[in-house]
Amino acid sequence: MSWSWFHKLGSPPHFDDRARRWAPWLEIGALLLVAYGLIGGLVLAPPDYQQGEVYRIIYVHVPAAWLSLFLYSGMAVSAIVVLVWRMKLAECALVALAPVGASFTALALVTGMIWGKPTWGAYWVWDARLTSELVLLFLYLGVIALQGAMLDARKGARAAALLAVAGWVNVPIVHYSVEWWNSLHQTASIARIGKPSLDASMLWPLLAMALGLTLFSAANVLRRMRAENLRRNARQRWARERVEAARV
Amino acid sequence: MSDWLAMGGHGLYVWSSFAATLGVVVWNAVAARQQRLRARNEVEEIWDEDDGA
Repeated sequence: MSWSWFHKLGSPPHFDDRARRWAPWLEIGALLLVAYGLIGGLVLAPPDYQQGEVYRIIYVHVPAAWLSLFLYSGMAVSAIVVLVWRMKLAECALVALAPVGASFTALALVTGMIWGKPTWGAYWVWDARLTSELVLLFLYLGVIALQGAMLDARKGARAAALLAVAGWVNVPIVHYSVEWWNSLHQTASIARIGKPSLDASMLWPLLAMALGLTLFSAANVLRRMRAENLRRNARQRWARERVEAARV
Repeated sequence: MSDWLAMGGHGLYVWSSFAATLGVVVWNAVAARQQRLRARNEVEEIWDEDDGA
């Protein structure tokens, strides 16, 4: 097997070309999936037998919560590459993933609070799931702050990478919190051994929303990485050529 | 239609959740675009400086 594709992908101008071409396709996929997910989830799926209509918050809450963990793991993997191989593109990925992940973590918390009020009777309880997800938000904010705290962008990225890797331990804690502790939060609906607990008419729109928002996030991360990649290579001739080409 | 909007009396909870999601998506799209424009400006400034020197 040839590794040339891997080395090519690590080359900043090559990445710029690839990301520019891929992002719109990911966004088209995201649009189609979210359109199906919204119609399926808000119109076609029946109301829940216990919760009635309010359960439909699941179609945004679960994808946001999934992304909060998935993007964090992506960030932690980039952080390891930053620390071990000092790869510039991994620094761009780390810097690009943090704000996207933070925004979906905040969304998971907010939609959870909105859902909690009518079903539990409270916006917030200091429960294991809610608390660990709040810690996840603080980890993201810490990564963003550290990476911006240094004058040298590369030093900032390495400091942020250390926190991102150390904080990875919180990801399984968030996921398993509902099993390890007595939690008000319900247990997993999709990711469990055997059959998911949702009917197919509810499950497919949920999976479409999760995948659709994941594709959107991937495209958004690519766009942010392109910008960061350009900044970090500002003195390279290819960067100037791209900027001049975009101006016309 | 108005039945659907009411969401069994929980319309405010359901729609505010979806509105918050739309807000996060729009914020990310706008932020990425601004990041791109800022990066372009930085590249131009650096090259202008170098050209001037």
